[in-house]
Amino acid sequence: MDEMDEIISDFLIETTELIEELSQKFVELESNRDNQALVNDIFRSVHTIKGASGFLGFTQMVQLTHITESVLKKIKDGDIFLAPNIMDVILESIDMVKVLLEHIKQKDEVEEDLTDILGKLQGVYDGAGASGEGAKSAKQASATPEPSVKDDNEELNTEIDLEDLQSRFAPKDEDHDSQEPSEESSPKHVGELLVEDGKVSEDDVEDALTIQSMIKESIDTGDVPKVGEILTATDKASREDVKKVLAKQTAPADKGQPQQVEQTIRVDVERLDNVLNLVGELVLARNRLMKLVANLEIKYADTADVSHLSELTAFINLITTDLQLAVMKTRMQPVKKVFNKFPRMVRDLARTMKKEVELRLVGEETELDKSIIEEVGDPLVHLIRNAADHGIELPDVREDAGKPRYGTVILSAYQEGNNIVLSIEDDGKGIDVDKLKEKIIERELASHDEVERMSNKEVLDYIFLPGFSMAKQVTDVSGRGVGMDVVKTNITKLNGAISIETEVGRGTRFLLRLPLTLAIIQALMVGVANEVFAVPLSSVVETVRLDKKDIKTIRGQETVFLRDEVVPVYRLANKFYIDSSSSNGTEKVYMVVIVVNEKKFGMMVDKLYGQEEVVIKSIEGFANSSDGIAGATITGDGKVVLIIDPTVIFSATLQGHK
Amino acid sequence: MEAFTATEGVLQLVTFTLGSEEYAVDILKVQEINRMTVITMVPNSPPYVEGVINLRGKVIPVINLRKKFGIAEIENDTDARIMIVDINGITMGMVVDSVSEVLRVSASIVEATPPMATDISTEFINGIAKLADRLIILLDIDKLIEQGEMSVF
Repeated sequence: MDEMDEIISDFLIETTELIEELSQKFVELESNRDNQALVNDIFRSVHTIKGASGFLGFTQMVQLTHITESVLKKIKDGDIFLAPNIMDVILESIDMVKVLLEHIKQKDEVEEDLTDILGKLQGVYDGAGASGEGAKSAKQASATPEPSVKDDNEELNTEIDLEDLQSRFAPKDEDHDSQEPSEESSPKHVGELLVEDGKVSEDDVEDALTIQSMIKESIDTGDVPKVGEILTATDKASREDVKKVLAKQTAPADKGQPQQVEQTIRVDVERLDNVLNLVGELVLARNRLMKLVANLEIKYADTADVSHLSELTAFINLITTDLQLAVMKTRMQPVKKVFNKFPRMVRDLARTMKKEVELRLVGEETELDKSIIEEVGDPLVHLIRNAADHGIELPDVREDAGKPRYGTVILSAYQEGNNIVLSIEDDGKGIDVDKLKEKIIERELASHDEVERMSNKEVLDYIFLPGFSMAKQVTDVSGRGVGMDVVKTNITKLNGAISIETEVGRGTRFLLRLPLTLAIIQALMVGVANEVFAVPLSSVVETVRLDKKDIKTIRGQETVFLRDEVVPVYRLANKFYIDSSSSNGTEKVYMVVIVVNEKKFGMMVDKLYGQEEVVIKSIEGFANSSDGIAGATITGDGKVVLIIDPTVIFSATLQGHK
Repeated sequence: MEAFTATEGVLQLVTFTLGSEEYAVDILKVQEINRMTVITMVPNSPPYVEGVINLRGKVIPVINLRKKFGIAEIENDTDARIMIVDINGITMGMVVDSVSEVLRVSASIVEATPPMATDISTEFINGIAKLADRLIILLDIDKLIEQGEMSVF
């Protein structure tokens, strides 16, 4: 039985991955219908699922995938033209496969009613005969121009040209296997490419072609000089340019080749976490060791043993850092994992809203920590939906504005120092800052004068306020801000930051800046009475030293005027019921200014110890962080320091005020 | 007697003292016994939770049995120990006055808890082992902290 469970769990993992890839491939196929390789790929995936389900006896799955496969076969053979409505049916069947998969996972033995989807698929399959002709003619129509072009420039054609030229210009490359140009993507001609690159003019190519045909007529056997040669011979193009273009010409042919299989093994996440924990401990031990060695160096400066020890410690330090990095990397996953679901989402969204939206994914191979990958999906769904829904205008509106009918949403990921930046950019209507200002005043979130003084960035930040975007606003201010506070909270939880750039009529761009990993954070170490706490640096704005007499009490609430701003002050000691009477005598106190939900709070502490990189550890048996403790860390001297969660501490305060 | 594992009628216990009383827990529940270390207090936790400690890189909670049992607190001296135990699958520390010994007793000498035997409520007392010159209170530490209480942390 256990063995069977294992096989089924392997099946589940594999199939889930296949399905994820499938959704994306289908969307890709829709925009690139002639990609035979892609169709074959999809066909194979579905076939694999069918085969495995059959073997394991999941009859419903077999039923469904069988007919889907049949439909795909017809598409592959060109009997069915892949119209959007047919694509809808296929995607629906893939969704159903997901549902079935979930049932298998839950082992709930629930049978789904497949009649509807099976009927639809059968309809598509049967309809092939009727609509097949249209499909065929469409296929022919798109295919017709090609042969004619080929006929016209027979002598320009690639196959022989390529080899010949290569052997002449690059003799060393003789044994290079020239790709057999696949029919659907015949490489561009040398002349065309040279013109594209601006190396020669179209007229020059024409001339070369004329010369070529003249020579061809005069010597009726084989050895006709190539366009590239003629161009170089007549000094229109340099040999280097022709070579470069030739390299380019071969490149597209490579695409069709099967990709190299990745060399990977599956590892249980628990095991990885375990390794990560051990490395974390090693890091802490290293820190302590280094502290000790530093002490020894002072005490016994001239001893040979001590200097050897410090050398060795430095070495261990180096290895530990590398090891830590290497282990972190094992937890990294490409953002592709989240990105993959968006093409499908945007496609469906665009179809329902009758918009034309193209989603471009950039930097999918950028890697992020697994835990962040898991958390970042929802905020991205929100932002992308917003971009497609509210950002991109209807095709007609876009055309009137002089923009292409289809809108573009670019989702990109790249690394910037210790951060990963995710950017969601659309070329839609943008956010009207002036209208936003009106809204702010209308909702009495700020006075007219205040709003006037605000920078655009400050105004835009209001979008993230909870409940700022109301239903009636959707029409007014492009509706952005629906659930934006959730996005903001989620990103903040990940110790990330979010910013907006927008231009009316040109589009909007959201930038999410995320840490590479959640396991290590920068923290400010503060002291209250005899206790030390770590405050995540991401929520700290600044630290201020205050005279006690600067703290004023307004309606029972201690506040401080900080550069014309009223900042409420809370004593961490009171929040945590720590007896801090011992430190009450001093006249100077420290205030850590913290931002929670765009609101500033002052947190009064007795001491500031400085900034430290801390490894976050969960506390055994502590179920939640409702009391404002986000976790713990262990300092260089082996002591446990609690990491406080300002979001929890002060959002409770916020609610208390309402 | 499910809190204690008896092999051929013999119980293996770790005994410790709190005030004038002697207590015991099943040896299989005890992971290790450590000297007192620095305990970091945790705000807003139940009063008997002393705080958290660093157990070789793991951060675990420590409870104070004196507070839990309502015995007057004392300044911990050099005999004080932190017993690392497994309570409902969670590793925890228990501060005790001193750890005495590992004891093998016959299951037959354990008697049911007499009413009013001690000043702690009897729900986490499994029985009393009656030896020649002393009485040892057997603690069912899984009942020491209720499931509901765990999430209070």
